Amino acid sequence: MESIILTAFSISEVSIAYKLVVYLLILILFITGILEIALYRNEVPEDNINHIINISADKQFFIVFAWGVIGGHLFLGSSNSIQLPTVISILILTVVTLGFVGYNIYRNKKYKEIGVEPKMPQHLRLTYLILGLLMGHFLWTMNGFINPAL
Amino acid sequence: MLKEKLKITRQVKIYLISITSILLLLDVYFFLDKPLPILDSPFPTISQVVLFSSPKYMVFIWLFGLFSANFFFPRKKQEVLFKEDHPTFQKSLAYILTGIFAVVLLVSGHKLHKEVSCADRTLVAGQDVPNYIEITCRDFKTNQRLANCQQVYCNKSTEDQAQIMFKYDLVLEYKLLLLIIGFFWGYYVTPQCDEEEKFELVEEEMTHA
Repeated sequence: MESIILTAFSISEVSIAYKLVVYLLILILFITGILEIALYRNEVPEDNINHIINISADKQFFIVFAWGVIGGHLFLGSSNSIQLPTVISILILTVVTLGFVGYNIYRNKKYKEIGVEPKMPQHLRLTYLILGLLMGHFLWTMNGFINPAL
Repeated sequence: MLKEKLKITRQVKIYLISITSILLLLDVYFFLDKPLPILDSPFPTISQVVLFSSPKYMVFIWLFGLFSANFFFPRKKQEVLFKEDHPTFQKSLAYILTGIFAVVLLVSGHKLHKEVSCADRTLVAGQDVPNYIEITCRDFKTNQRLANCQQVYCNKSTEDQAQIMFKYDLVLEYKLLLLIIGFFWGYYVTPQCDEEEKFELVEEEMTHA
C-alpha cells in the first residue's frame, strides 16, 4: 500500500515568513486604530473612518458587496462549493464587482442629472452585503475538499 | 472648517484605498508563491493567516460582523439598546461592554485552541470533540483541504515537501453565528458617530429654539 509521507505541521513552528505577514497585518490595524482615535479627538466633525465609509457606500455601493465577498471568503467557505480553480473564482468575482462598478457609475450619473445626492437605502445595502457573503462563501471558498493521494 | 473637513476626508480616503491596494497586491504576490531569496519558505497569503487564526482569534470574526454594521448600517438614536439620559455615559458603557465581550472571546478562543498532530488519531477521527468543533487537515502549501484526515499516514522519520496541517477549528455554523452576533452588536450596542450625533444636534437645536 502506497502511503504519502508527510510531516505534521504544528502551528507553533511557524516560519519567519508567516510571522512577517502576521506582524504586517497587526501594524496596519494598529496604524488604522491610531488614525481613528486622532480623527475622533480632532475638532472636525464627521471625519471618522466609519462615517467616511458610510458616505462612500451611498455613492459607491460596490464597496458593500466587496466587503461581503471578503467576509465570505475569509470567515466562511462552503465545503460543498462549486469546485473551480481559485483563479477562475477570483476572475468571476472580479467581473461581477466590475459590473457593479459600471452600474454604480451609470446610477451616479443619473442622480447628478436630476441634481440629487446618491443614496443607498439600508435594505439594499443589506441585500448587497448578503449577496457578497454568499458569493464569497460558495465561489471563493478555502474549504473545498480534495482527496489525499494514496 | 468645511475646507479642513474635505481635506481630511480626502486624506483618509487615500489612506484606505492605498492600504486596500497594498494588501491586494501583496496577497496576489504571495499567492503566486514567490519566496524572497533570503527566506526559505514562501509567504502565506493573508487569507491563510486569517483562516489559521481561528479559533484562537475568533474575536476577529465577531469584529468583522461588528464593523459591517458600524460602517454600512448607521442606526437612529431611538434604536439603541442601552438607553440613558446621558449620551456620554451611554457611549462609555457601550465601549466598555464591547471591550469586555472582545476579551471574553479572545480568552475563550485561546482556551478552545488545541494542537492536533497526525498522532492524535482519536481526535482526528472526531471522537471526544464537541459538536461546535471540527478537525480539519489541509496541505499548507496549496491551502487545500483534504477530504479524509484519517487516510493521511504519518511518517516522521522522513522529510518531505508536503506539509499537512491539522487544525482544531470552529464549525462553519458557529462562525456564522459569531458573525451575526457581531453584526447585531455593532448595530445595537456599539456607539455610532453618524445618525446618533446628527440626531443629538437636531434635538439640541430644537431645545434652544
